[in-house]
Formats: sequence, structure tokens, C-alpha cells
Amino acid sequence: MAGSGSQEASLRWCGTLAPVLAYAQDAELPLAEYEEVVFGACHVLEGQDPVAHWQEVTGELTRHAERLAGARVLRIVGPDTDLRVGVRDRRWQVADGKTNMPDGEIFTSPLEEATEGEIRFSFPGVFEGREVADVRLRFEGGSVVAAEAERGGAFLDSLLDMDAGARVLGEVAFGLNYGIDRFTRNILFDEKIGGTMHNGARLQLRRARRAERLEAALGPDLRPPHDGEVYADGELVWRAGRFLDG
Amino acid sequence: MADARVERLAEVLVGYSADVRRDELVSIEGPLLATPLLVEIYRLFYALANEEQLDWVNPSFSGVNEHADVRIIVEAEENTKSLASADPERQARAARARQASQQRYLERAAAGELKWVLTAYPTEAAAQDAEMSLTEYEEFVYGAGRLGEVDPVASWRTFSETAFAAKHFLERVRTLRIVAEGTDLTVGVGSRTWEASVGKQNFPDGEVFTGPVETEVDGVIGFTYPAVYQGREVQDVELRFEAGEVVESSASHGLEFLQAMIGMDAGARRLGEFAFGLNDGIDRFTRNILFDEKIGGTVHLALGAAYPETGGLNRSGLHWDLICDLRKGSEVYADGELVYRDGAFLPGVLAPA
Repeated sequence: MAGSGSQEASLRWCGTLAPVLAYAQDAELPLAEYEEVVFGACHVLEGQDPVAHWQEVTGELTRHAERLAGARVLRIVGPDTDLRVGVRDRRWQVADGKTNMPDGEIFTSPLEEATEGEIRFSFPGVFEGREVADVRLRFEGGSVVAAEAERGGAFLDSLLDMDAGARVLGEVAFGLNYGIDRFTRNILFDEKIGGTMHNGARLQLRRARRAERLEAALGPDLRPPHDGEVYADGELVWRAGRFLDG
Repeated sequence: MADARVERLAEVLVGYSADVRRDELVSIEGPLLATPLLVEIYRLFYALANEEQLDWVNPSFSGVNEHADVRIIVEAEENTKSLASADPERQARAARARQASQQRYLERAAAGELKWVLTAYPTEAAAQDAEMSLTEYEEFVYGAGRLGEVDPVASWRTFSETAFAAKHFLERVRTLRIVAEGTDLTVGVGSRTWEASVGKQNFPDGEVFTGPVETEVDGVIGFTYPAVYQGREVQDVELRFEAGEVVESSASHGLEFLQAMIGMDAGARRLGEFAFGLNDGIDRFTRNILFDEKIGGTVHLALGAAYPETGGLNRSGLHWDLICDLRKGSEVYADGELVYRDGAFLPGVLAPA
């Protein structure tokens, strides 16, 4: 989920993005094509019924969230990736177009001391306009103990050293918007790319708001041809970018 | 996303009003403010045009190169990546079609019949590519042009002395050898003319360049910055030359585009330019070649067309500058003698003219 972590029940909010030239340039597209990407992801193109679409998404994502509700450990397996993430008793949230538009993910906050293993992210991580490419992280006891990047390694280190919380996962999520099929350097879209997962190394809520947005687009690409897999308590639940129950 | 009414208008204009036929050459005209409609008309054109229509160069474009005495050319882009998803083969084809007119432009300029100056107006899109705010980027652009100085023209004249000293020194050299991490390249420059670029044809400016001997480039060079051409980036480019020709190319990203451009025509795999960047007011990479190629302490090589005034003979639809930073751990030898180290000519090498 992109945006502020403070979500009081008395304040409803929704973050969206206007397709302007600067974003089109980051996405390496002419503006007209970028507009298609944005409006297509929101399902508001001519002839589409956006409200009916997002209501359908609510049903589908709720089904996936309920299935993961009892899981204790997720194991993510892919190229240079074998990571265990503890999620026992954590609530899976359904992001279905209410607080982000476009939307389409399910996410939770993993157990702070139970992440173990290695992960390699397929898209660059973008934080405040700076890119870190080909990031590999190793976790022990919930914390990042080794970090490598092909580009932007020093910047990555400085982010991880921001404070103790920066080395701990604040989010694990499945991107389920299959209308978003390309990386555009904008987290509102990238984290929802259908068939990806992302892990936000996010700071504690008491930290500055700016720092919370460290929840960068670090998502291992579990789509074909990589044939990445996710196991929930040993049972295969996700393969080739889709939940197995459809 | 086009307004559906604009798309429809374009279809009516092309299909009904003008009733464009397959054997007809088409000129599409209009100002910047009409961009949405012009784009839709061009979209139809490119979807339907045959090869003859695609290859036609509007004489209002080629006529400028034939008849103008002076061209003042201002570049500005609102989205530097708007062509990044275009088909490279078709881009190469368009460049080939413009080649004859481009060659005429180079020849008339070399003969002193056509004066030209190219500059870049700082825009949000360029600032974004440079990873700066617009205000910072404007400072950078105008600083590189020495416009903050009391008398910018006097300052460019002072700079000219250094650039001409480099020209006079380099014109006595037959072979340059560039040695840096991942680079060991020899370039023949014997009896070629070096041009001192001192703010006349490019603004800002600051380089000294020549057209290398077409068959005398050997060795390997690794380029420091992403190579940017028509909004597309190719990263970590390495080229190996034998007898002047690229015989091996590699890149960590964008190799297919690099190879499509090198394969454009016979001249695209040879060098048309070799140059030293001399503007110390440009100290960083900003993804705009007008600035990047002049970074003080770098050299750049261009694949493709040579500037005829240098004596360079290479012809191509391509002219793609690639930059190698020499500011750290690098050396340049002139006919075997060390003359340049870590981004600067050694003291005493450049005697005043």
C-alpha cells in the first residue's frame, strides 16, 4: 500500500495520480500511451464499468486474504530467492480501490523477528526519485544482515542505516492488478503489478512520515518465465504469478 | 489518451477531406498548440504510409540546409522519452531518409556557407533527466554558458586560447592512445584537422574534436555514462574496434537498440568523431549530449557521420556520441608520449599559440 500509515477511522482518504508529463517520462512513454496505462489500471476506459469492476476485485481479494489468514509462515522461492516470512496472527488487508486508485493487492505486516533467508528484487527500488537497481538482501532474525545492489548501493546502505526499524520488513504483499503489466517508476502502480510481490522495509509508525515511505518498490518478479513459487505452511499457494485457486 | 473526437477528426481529415492516396506525398503542418490533433494525424500516417511516403523528406526541411546562411536552432523537449517505445528499425529508416539533407548541411557548414548555432532551452523534462530541480538546472545551464560572468563573450575568448592551444598541439599528433579502466584504444588522427569548439556552433560549448582516420581505430573502450540516443539509454557500452570498425559490442542494458543503430548503414560502425571535453563548468552527467560531451576531463567518440571540416570522410545517418570519463586513473599518450592524465593535459603540453 502506498501512502501514509496513519489511517484513523474518522478520516477516510484516497491517493491517486494524475497522468502528467513528468510521470510519462519516467515511464519512458509518450503522454498519450501513459494515460492509457493509468486509466486502464483504474478500469475507467470507455465502455468499462469501474464500480462493478472494483466490487468484483473486493470479492476476489477477500477470498485470497481469507485463505492466507491462518498461515504462519510464507516461503518465497525464485531466482536467487529463498525467503521465509512469519505472518502468524497478522491480519491480511485487502486493497481494493478505496484508499489507492488504482489498487489491487493484499498485504500484511510480517512478524518483526521471523524473516530468514535471501531475496533478489527484479525491479529497481525507487525512493524519492533515486534508484537502487538489482537489490539482493539477506535476512537473519528478521533484520537485513547483508545488502547488495548493482547500482545505488551506497544509497541503499544509508536507507538501511536510517534507524533500527529500517532493516526490518514492514510489509509483505501480493500485487494482483493484472491490468498493470509494466514498471513505470511509480510505487502507486508498480507495487500492484499483477504477479509480483513486494516487501517494504518500513519504519515504525512513530517515525517521520517521510521515512515511512521507504516502503519502496522492492518486488521480486514471480511471473513467468521465472516460475517463482510461494508456499504457505509448506503448501504451494502461488505459482507463475497467480494464486493457485484462481 | 486522445480525445475520441480528435481521433475522429484526424480520420475525417486524412480519409475524407484530403483523401490521401497511397501514391501521394504528404506534408502535415501546424503549431505546437495543435499537438493532440497533429499526433493523431501522424499516427494515421505512420500506420498507413508505404515506403516511398515514409522516405520522403519534406523540401521545407531540406531547403533550409540548401539555402539558409544562418541557422539558430533551439532544442527543448517536454518529454525526453516520448520516442522510447518506437520501433528502432523504423527510427533508423527515418534517419537514413534524412541523411542526404543532413550531409548537405554538414558540407555547407564545412565550406563556410552555412553558419549555425545549436542551444538547449532548459525545460522541466531536461531538469528531470538531469535529476535536478528546474531552478538548479537553469543555474547549471547558464553557468555552463558562462552567462553569470560580467562579460560572457570575453570569457569565451579567454577559453578559446586554451582550446586553440589544444588544437595546435593535437594537429602534430599521428596516433592517440587512451588508457583507462576497461579501455585501451588507439586512434589514428594523422593529418586530420582539429576543430576548437568555442561557443560558435554549440552553446554552451567547450571541446576540441576531429574526424579520426577511418581505418585506424583499434582496441577496446568502455563508456562511463549511459549512452543516450533518441530518448533511449544503453548502459555499460563496450566496443571493440579492429581496423576502424566495431567488431564486438556489449551493453548491460539496451544492447538490441545499440546493435540496430550500429547496423543502420555501413558508416554507423565506424567513428566519425573523436574529441576532448574541455568545459570545467560542466562537471556532471545530465543525459543531454549537448552538455555531456563537453564535461571537462572526458573524451567522446561518435559512431557515424564525420564533420567534413575535420577531414573525416565517414558518412552515415547516425551520429551517436559516447563518453568516457578520464578524470580518475587514466592516461592519454600522443605518439607514445604521456600528455594527459586524470582529466587534464600535463603542464607544458599546451603551449600558447
